Amino acid sequence: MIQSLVISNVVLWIAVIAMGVIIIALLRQIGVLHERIAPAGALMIGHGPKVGEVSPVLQVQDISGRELAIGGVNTEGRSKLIFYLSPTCPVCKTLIPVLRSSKRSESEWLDFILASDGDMTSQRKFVAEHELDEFNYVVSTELGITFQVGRLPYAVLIDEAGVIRSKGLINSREQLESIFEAKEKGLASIQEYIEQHREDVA
Amino acid sequence: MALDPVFTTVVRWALGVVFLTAAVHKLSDFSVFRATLSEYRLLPGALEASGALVIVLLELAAGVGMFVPVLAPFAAWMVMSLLVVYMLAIGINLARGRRDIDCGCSGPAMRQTLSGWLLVRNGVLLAAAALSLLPAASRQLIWLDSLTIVFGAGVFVLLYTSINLLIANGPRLKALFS
Repeated sequence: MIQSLVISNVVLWIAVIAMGVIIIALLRQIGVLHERIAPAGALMIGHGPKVGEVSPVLQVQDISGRELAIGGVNTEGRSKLIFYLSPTCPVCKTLIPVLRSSKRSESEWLDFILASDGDMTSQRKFVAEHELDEFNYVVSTELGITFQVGRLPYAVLIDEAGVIRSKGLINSREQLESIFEAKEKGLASIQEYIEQHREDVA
Repeated sequence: MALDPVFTTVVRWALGVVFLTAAVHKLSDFSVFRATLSEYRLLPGALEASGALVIVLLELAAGVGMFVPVLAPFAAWMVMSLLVVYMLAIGINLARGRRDIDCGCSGPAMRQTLSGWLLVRNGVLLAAAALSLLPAASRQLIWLDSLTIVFGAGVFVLLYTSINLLIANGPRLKALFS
């Protein structure tokens, strides 16, 4: 009798643990489904002007009043990186040192534009706190809508001819560098690079 | 009436794992945790770095302490104080209407925005920590008790993770209907 109870107890524990694991797996799948079916606006990756297309042209003003042209042919042969960030996004803050060093190392061919949106006082405080004066810092809803930016930090690379060469979510130094890499290799994304490489081998 | 030692140990081990994993998540991406903490807008800028470090160290100490019987009561008090501080921090930001900042509870991978559910969750953890402080009866533990402790603590950790996933999914579900 006691032995049967012990056995049944062990079997039940194993079953309960298995169910716990299954519940977590299901909840994770639900999370992934949410990412997929989220309504436009919450997640707009893959929308907006596509890589390889000519960028929309617009004129914006940064917070120190300088006029900047987005898109169009650059007469000096320089490319533009629009980096979208916000004072309320923790990952963006961790990328500021990366932006600073990339700005220096890519200064020969690339201009950086930091783009954000929202309340002007908190934006100015953010710029002062993180000493972002060396960047062109643009606060513009229009700039975000033009490229359909849904999640941050996000980057768009426009080449000297005004063509969008690369864009996407940036969460780390490697991802930002992959965008430069993609430009040098003439590919839209590092994924495309890997794909091409695979075909070469095969 | 004294509690059976198996109950106490299950609760201690489960809380230990919860706090250790929370601390490891925060440490593995410490700069993100610091930025998350600063979004709570509670500490003056100069204290943010040291504040973040103190929180992680306290979580680590409390997590480890839960597994050492002599230290467990101290660890339980630490856990309870941390939870009260967290609930205040979340409560203040909910009152400010800052619902869209990240909780920072389980690292940046789990994107939980602030909600009342986090207060409920922390309340349950608080009750569990208090339960582990009640006097436990002493009896000889056999192998089946060890099994109950390991599997029992494991199940509670799995349930805790499930609840976190549900809390993280909540706002997304709401967004579908808006």
